[in-house]
Amino acid sequence: MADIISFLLGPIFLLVFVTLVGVFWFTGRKSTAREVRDLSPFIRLRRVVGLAVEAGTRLHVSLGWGGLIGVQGASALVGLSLLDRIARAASISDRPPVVTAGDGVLVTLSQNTLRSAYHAMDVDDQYDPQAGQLSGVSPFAYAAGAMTLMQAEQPSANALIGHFGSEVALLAEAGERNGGVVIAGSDNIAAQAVLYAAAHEPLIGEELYAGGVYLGAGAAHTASLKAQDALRWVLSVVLIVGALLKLMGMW
Amino acid sequence: MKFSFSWLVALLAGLAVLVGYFVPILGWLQELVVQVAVLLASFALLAGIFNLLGVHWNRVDTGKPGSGYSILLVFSFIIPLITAGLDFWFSGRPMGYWTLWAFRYIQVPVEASLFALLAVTLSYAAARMLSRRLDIPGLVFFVTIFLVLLLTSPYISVFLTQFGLGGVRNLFTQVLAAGGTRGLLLGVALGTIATGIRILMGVDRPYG
Repeated sequence: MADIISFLLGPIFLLVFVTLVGVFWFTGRKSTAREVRDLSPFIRLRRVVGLAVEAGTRLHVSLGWGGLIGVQGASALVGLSLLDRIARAASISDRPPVVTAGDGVLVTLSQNTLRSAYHAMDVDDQYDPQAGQLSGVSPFAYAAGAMTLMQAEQPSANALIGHFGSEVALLAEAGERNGGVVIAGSDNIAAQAVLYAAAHEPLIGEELYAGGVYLGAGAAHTASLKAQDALRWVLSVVLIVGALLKLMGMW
Repeated sequence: MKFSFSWLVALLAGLAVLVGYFVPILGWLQELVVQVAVLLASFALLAGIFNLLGVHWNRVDTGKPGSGYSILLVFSFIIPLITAGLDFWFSGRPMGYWTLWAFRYIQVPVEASLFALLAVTLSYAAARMLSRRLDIPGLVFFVTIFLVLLLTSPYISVFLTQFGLGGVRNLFTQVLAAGGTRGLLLGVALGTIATGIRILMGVDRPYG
């Protein structure tokens, strides 16, 4: 019996998640009210993108070295989603954003994202295939390559969104040394701890996955964020009740 | 939501991998899709390496700032080709004495020195954080770093164990740290699922 329950738990959880996203999406489609708390990293990112366009400075997005095959792929996909929003917002800039990654698939996808963003904004000639760069294939080689690019391009803002290790501190430090704002988040706990100390605007825990909502990616992003919040409450209650039952010897 | 062939491929591939986790009999399908993905990723890596060379060659060609590093990179790209060629010439295998020599005496020391630099950078970042973020979470973070470093240092650790205070160390390094980590991981896991669902629904399309 316990085996069947644990076997069914995964699909049921996923089904509940999808249903919640659908319900929140359907009910929130026409809503214009702001329903999320302010997250300063994304508010600042939106501001620096606008300032970079006005001042004609470069923006740098770094997607990490985690690749897409594995759980770390989700953080890189969030980075790509943010890149799409940043590329659209900066499409009228003289100096379009540059992207670095430590994985071949991410480089290909970043080039694809830039191309489709410029196409959607009807500025196809802005697209430069070399704007999406592989900066290295091992964590430190990737960091060293991205640091060189930061020094050469002097970006006014660096969005480090993806899977990193503790070497992300070198990137954050390089960004700060070049006078740019560093907004950073990772799915890796060690990198989050490092970024909390090293970045101007660190994204901790699930904050990384909320970017689309703050950069106007649409109602589906808001719906998935609400579903995340609802299920986090449910899981927190289950964990606390389970711990109390265990403490009282009832389970 | 606009229908596209690429979305259909992404949806089917995603569902095949997902179903493989819940229906063990379809595990072969999941394995097949992942194998194809790995194969495509290796081609993407090759394309990425050519892109890297192209970017740096362009930088050297146009004399952009930092082109000295680009010359070094192009040169570094040639070294493994020469060492692999030498190994293949002498031993019939692309991986041998010369390749390992380059790895051991060039790549490992360079990465080790970056790692050493990281220790200095982190110490500096922790000190700078106090001036930048002097609030309660910042102070808690700094005090935690200090306590964990102190309690896990060998001499203090032996001292605590001798006086039966090992529980104090475990309280910080295991109970409180594990609790915090679980909380963060819970958020990361939910965010990962939400991202996956958005990709499957075709809301996010990083493939264009």
